[in-house]
Amino acid sequence: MVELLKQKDEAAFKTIVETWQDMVYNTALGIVQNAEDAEDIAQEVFVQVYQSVSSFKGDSKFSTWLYRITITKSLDHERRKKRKKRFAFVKSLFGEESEVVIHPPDFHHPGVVMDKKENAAALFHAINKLPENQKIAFSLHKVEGLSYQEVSDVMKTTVSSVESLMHRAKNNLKKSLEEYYRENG
Amino acid sequence: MKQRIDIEKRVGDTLGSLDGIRRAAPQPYFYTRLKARMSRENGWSGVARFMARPAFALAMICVVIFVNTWIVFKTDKEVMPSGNNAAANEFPAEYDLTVATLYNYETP
Repeated sequence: MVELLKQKDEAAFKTIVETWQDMVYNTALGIVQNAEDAEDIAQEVFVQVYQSVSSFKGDSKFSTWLYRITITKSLDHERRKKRKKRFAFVKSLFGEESEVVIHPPDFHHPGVVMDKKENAAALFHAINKLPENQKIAFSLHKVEGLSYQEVSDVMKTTVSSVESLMHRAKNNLKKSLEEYYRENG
Repeated sequence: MKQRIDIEKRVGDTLGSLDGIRRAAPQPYFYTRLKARMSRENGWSGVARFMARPAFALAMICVVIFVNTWIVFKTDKEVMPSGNNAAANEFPAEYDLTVATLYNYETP
């Protein structure tokens, strides 16, 4: 299929999109926590796949390559969003009119079981505060259901590094959630 | 003490709230929207994206520097041609600029 895509075969591209769209969308959604942004990122990912499939040498699995592109695009999106927020804040300090920074409501992942929705929203809020690499490891493992081995392949690191990232992520989440529940009762 | 236990339990429940999560899917007709986007981007925005690449910008800077350097060297050669020194030497003689000091000028 990838070989056909390298020859810009439309049918192969359609099959690849339909096979992997849920995986790409769900990964992006776990990181950016917004349905519209996740759709936008998923589209960007497939545009890049179509344009640069020739650079895929087959050293890793196709899915691993897709995960890497998705994570890079999602992190770029997050950085752009933070930059915009900072810029709007600085502009507001100088009294210049700028776009009102809207704090998004709690994110509800559509795949979470109904009776866990509220807890999951609090957890996603805490995940958003994690450092980038902890957030990626945690999202890939918990939201996408990848094993530590698969996470390490995607992140180009060792299994023990992923274990360490997960350990630190859980500790940070615990602290963050304790604080949240103490404040919100 | 009771409140602390309550918080620990809630934190534990929250950390386990993603267990059994199902994969989210995009809205239907994702491929149609993707193709529409790709055909939009094939036009001028594709050219703009190509021009916005750092490699393109760097190549353009190199071209500008090369053209400027070439023009400077070319102009230098035209202003100071090596074989035209005779005219330059005739100029001070014609206007009597060879007199070194005022004293020499007054006592011929």
